[in-house]
Amino acid sequence: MKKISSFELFISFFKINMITFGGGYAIMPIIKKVYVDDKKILVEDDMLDLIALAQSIPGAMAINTSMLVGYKLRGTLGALVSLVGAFLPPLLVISVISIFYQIFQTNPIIQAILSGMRGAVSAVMIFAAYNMFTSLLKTNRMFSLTLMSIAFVLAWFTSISVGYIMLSAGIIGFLYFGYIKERLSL
Amino acid sequence: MSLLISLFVTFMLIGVSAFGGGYAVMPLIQNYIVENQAWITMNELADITSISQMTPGPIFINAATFVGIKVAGHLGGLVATVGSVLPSFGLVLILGYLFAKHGDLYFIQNIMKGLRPTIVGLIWVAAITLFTTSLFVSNPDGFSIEWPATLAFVVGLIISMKTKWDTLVIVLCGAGIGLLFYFLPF
Repeated sequence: MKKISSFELFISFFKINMITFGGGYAIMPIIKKVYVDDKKILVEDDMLDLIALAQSIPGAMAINTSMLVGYKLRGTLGALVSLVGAFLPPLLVISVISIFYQIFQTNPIIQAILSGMRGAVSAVMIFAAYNMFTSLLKTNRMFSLTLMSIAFVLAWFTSISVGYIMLSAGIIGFLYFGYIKERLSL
Repeated sequence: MSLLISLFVTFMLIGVSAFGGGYAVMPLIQNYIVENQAWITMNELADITSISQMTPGPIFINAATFVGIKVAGHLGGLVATVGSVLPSFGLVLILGYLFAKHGDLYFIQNIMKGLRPTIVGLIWVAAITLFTTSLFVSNPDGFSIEWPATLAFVVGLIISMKTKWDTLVIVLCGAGIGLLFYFLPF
């Protein structure tokens, strides 16, 4: 595993959380792009494992995933600097906005800039999500494609909690790879 | 002082129970902050929600900062935000340690094989949601296209595919496109 300094961790999560709109899973493709595609410190499976862990912890997904990446790369100190890097941007932005949020919500220049930023972030997200999709199909193709489609449909069309979807997927993986797959190939 | 402690403890309690991330935290904030503590009104909560959609960062962190500042000034904002992330920080250290130690166990790997494709499916939901809400704005006549976001999306996608530019630079290009739109004479 390549090394990364605590300072670099802090800066990267500060930047990532500065530009990520939407919260929740919206930040995942961005973290993945930075750490898997650009820095090449983590592999895709590491990233997905950390996201799964983040989901099982209460609190904001973006913050949890940032901390888990920090912990994996630099231990407790890494988790701490990643946490601070991740929560400083929203803290600073909201501190400023809370003073004049009426103006913020109606100012057309600010609205135009934010609109452009959201469009650009959407592009980065879609591109990263596409890359995750293609590399997912490299192993256990049919299984992965099926589970991904089911998760997408459930999350998009129903109000079933993401926690239950993940729980079911974990159980399915446990049963399929532990017991069912071998019998199918007999 | 007792107000600061109260802010800290209340947001820590929400942080412990906020499973699922994203908007899953909203009912908890409504219950603890609006109804029990009466620190903000329902209207202000709606404002926080719309500000969160425009600004970076998870809605839970944004809400903690906003409420903290409103109740006890900027120190209050800091205290509430730190309180909100503290439980997940502790759990990250525990879970990160356990996963690093036992994560390669056969059955855990099987569970992970079920979770990974599911996460990619959920990421697609987040990506498409941000894409549609950024590029299309619903109005009484149906929807209209948000042109700054749309152009920024196209440019962002081309940059993502053709270059290795830093995500921050891509998003700043989006901000520039938004600004350009404001000053163009149409």
